[in-house]
Amino acid sequence: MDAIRFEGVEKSFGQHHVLRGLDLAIPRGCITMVIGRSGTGKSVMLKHAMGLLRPEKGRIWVGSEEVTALDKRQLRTLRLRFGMVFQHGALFDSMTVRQNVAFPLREHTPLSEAEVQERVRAVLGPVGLLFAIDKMPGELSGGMRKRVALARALVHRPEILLYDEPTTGLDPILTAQVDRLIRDTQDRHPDMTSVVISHDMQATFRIADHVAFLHDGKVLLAGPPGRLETTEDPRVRQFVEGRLDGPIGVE
Amino acid sequence: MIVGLVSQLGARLLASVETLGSALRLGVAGSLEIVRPPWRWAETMKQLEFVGVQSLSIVLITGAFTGGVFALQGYEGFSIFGAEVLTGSTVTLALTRELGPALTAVLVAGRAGSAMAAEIGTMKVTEQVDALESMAVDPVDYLVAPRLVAGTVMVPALAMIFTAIGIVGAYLVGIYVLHIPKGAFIYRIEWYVDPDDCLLGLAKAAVFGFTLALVGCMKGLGVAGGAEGVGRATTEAVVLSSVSILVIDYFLTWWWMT
Repeated sequence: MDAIRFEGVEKSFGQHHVLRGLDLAIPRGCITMVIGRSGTGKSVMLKHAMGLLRPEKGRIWVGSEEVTALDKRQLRTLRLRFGMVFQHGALFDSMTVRQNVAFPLREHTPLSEAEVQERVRAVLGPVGLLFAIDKMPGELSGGMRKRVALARALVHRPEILLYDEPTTGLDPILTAQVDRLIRDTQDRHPDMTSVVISHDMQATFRIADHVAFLHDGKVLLAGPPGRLETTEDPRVRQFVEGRLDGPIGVE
Repeated sequence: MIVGLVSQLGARLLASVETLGSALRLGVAGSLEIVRPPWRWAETMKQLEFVGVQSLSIVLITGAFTGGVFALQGYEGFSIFGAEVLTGSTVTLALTRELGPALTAVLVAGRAGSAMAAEIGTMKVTEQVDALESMAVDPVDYLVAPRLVAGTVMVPALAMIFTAIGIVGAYLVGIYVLHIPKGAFIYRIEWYVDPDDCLLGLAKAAVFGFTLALVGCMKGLGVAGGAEGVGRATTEAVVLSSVSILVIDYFLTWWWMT
């Protein structure tokens, strides 16, 4: 069974038709990269999977649960199955790193203080940030903040980990480091499913097990990363090769 | 031209009704979250401290000087027909019923209400509010409810302090600047000011405190468009809550008197 499945999902914001009949199946236990130009509805798609937005048409499943049929309370429970790494980390800036990472546990688990501290240290270790455990987010660099965000998303052991453009705004070396971290995290938790939104082609070839190419609110291509190189679709080719001239207009 | 004017007026009216509607909705949702578990003790304590304790110094200074200036003005008016003895009781009555609650609320709106809009607004643009939702935490429960409690509890407390220090200020000015005899100044204060007046003042202050916190939170959660949006929301929060406080003040007082 797929981890997440979209069927004919449509969503508009005012006049702006963002998702136009999105069909996509995200396989379990691997990294799926969702690529496409900015503004093609990639983030909107993630928010639909977590039930943060509701589609006007279509249905969405997470495992065997139909997200589009859940009420507000059931949606809360559903969200606990996800971990989300936001584009700029979205750490709570009034809390220390320790409090940030402990937050999901304190909110949703009956763990004792000692167990919470142990789990916090267990997720901060692999991202190399134990030394910063009592720092405030404002004292950290962009790359460090993203690693804390990853630790916070992982701490309650989610089934599905979502990354919203995790490397945007980082230098090439930090980008490689975050990419490696995403791959390592997946390899350490083989039952987990990772979904990464990106427009970084290098990262896609480096870490993806499965790719989906989104354009104008629809999926143009889905499959193993190799398909990106063999496809005949001129729109996908233009994006992969990063060319200005082609069927995708640049306004 | 007339059509344009009418449609502009209509658009303004619609926007106002919409603002009122979203304020009411957030007010109801926030009030429900106050009574519904989980209770946010730590967050509430933090807000009580921020709204209450940290506003204390400006309330003390403003209160003392408001009482003082009111004594000066009252004395001048009353002395025209030789009724200087009324200065003390008039100042006390005015502070208890009106100046204490309303001025305190406007001060707290400027200090804490604006900060609420700025803080929540910044959280909104940096996706921290989305992060809360993604972690299955209701922003209304986590962010709005503690602030509503803090406003509703702390503004009456501060208004009491404002009134008390205002009376002291008026007394000092009355005795040492205007040389009203001590006995005449406090003459019949207890006869003019009823417990009902204190109650009205406190009840109004509680409503104002709830209002300014609600407006601050609403403007914060409604932020769109980066730093500029946060700035705009902060200004709007202060303006809207100050105006609302004074308008609500009139209607509450009118309702009380009839």
